[in-house]
Amino acid sequence: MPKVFNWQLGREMSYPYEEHHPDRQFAFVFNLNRCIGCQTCTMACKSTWTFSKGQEFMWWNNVETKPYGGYPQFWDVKILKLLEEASGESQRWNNDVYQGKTIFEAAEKHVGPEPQQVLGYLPTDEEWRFPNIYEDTPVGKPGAPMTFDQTGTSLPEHATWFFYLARICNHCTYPGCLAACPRKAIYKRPEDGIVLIDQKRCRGYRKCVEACPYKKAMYRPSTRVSEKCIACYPRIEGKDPEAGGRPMETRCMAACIGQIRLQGLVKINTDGSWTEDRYNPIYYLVKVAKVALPLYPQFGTAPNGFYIPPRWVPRGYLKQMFGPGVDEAIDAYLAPSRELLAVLQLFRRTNRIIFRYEIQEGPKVYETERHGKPFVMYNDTIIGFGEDGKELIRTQVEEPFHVRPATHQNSI
Amino acid sequence: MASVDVQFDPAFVEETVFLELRNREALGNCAMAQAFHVQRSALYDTTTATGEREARFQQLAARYFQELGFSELFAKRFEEFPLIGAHVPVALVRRAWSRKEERVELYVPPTPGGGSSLKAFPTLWIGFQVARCLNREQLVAFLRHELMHISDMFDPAFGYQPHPDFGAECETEEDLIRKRFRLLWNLVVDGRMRRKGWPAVDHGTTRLREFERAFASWDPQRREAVWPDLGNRASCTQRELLELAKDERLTRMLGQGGVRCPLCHFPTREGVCDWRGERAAVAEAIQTDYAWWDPVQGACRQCFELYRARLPVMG
Repeated sequence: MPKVFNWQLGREMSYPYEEHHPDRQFAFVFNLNRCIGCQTCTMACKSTWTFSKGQEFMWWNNVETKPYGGYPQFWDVKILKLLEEASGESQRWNNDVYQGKTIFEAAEKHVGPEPQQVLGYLPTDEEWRFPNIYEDTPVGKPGAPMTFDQTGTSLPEHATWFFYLARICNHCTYPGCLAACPRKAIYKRPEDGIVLIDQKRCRGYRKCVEACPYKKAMYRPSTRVSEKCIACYPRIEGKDPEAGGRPMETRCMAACIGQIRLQGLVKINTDGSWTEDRYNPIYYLVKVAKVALPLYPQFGTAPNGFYIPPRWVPRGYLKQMFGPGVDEAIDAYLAPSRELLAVLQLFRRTNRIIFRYEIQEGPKVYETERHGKPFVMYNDTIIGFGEDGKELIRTQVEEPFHVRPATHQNSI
Repeated sequence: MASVDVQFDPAFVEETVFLELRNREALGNCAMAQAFHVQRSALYDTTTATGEREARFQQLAARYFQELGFSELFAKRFEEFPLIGAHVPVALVRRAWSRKEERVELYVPPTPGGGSSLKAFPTLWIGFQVARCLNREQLVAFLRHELMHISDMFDPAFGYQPHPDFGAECETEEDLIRKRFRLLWNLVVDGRMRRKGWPAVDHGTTRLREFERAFASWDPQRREAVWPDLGNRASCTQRELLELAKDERLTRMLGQGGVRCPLCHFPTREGVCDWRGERAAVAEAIQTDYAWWDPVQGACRQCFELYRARLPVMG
């Protein structure tokens, strides 16, 4: 297999195809600290794209309760187990360099009549049944009714915990589905890196379903072809009637009640690395503040979905899920810098894609200490700009305070 | 001997063929899978009308379903149960998406005077997960287990009644008896399969656990006696099993001076009869739901607690 560079692993890895990258990449950041599991994103996607015959159990967007939940059931536990069996050890990082095997490298070890391109498995019908099985089921010691815990716990990590993990296709840099397709029916769009399945080329081999470690390619029996999240590309292209020709965020992003989601397009170099774009909010969160991390980077697909890890969850679990950057990310989030706090205000302030931001400094509001670290809050104003350089949104760190004129009191 | 017309759901057939060939491919037997995919792939380009295209996909899958021996496997299972062949003209095999949806049912056409009768040429409905087809031995065991139940339903010696008298005082109690009856019937079927030398459905140790839990009120000695007894029975009747399934805790408690709660019908020795003071509001709340209820009838502690807890919510 050819070698490609995967920046999330800090090393080269095997991949069935040579390096070839889009000009820009669809990417997103989900702040898991804010997700309330309301499934509005899930329904926004379902009602837009997967409401037809044969799509009954198809959820391109789902929100699952971790650690027990998963759609399909136990998808991550299963793939981690396969990886561990293939590697002969659990995942290991040496500083920021992944030492274990990716799903592509593990597949090379597979002995069989027809070598797999990608290590994977095909979920059963039953495993696809529930988009959020074990909803709100925590892990931890069982409580006793009508009594307070006698020992308590020391924050920020909780002893009894769960969290919601919102997921869509990660439109990976090195997609497993694309690598496995025997028909070459899956491709990355050169203009935005969105991964699509050519419905005319697909012949329903379901290799993509088997290979996608995130299980976001799904087979539709009524048409006998596979389908997956298309990143609402008409909206990205500005072709949605509401978009007015300007790039717009996906349906699931726009519907987010908890305001956990921010989506963008990042510029990509010819070697696949991100072009420095200091004031692109996604670039800033992932590369500068390093507060958002990829989901299961050890799979090796270089996913383009990034998550701000939930601060109350035991670090060991989070490191397995988001890699070695967890401590740094949570530290950054617990006592955010002046710039990070401002950028966090951009989440869901507009449905159009923000390509650049600017911060106008405001007065100091207060200073305190958070988890042993100094924290100073300024009421800065942050301005988001669109692709055309025009202002899209202007907001401030402190929530604006509105006083209703007395003439309208007690009126509706 | 009459034979059953076994009709397969096209979606079930297609999925079974796909998964079986995929399994064979993984084990190194690629020729058949490759041939199937070549033929299937060609159908994608078919430009005929949608209905005809669909039919071609189904025909291809049906051919492979037969070649892979599934049609024969099902036919042989029905041959093992002549009583079913004598009564059931059609059996439909359908795809179920989860264990909970798996079931085997007899659908009986309604009789002119209302109601239903097993003599009226019922249709047999068999629904299970396609994944079961990947383990032939277990598939056979599963089908035999289910068909033995159906065969019992036609066996005069079993005396099956579709709507038997459970002897229950309320729906909750009826559900409990029905659940226990099903379990006991399963034990009898398991035992008969074992004595025939047929591989059993793999339940692990769950069947015993299920039994111990369902009959936890029995003395351990009684459980230890009934478990092998049911497993060794050559035959039994539905009535016998229903009698055994009855929750004797209810009669035992009533015999020992307990009373049935007029609200939930479960027996209790701790009835609440004093409705003075704060309890008056609880009595009032009960009467909102049960207008016929008189406080002198009393209520069990569970019902009392339920309505007491609901008071703040009800206002």
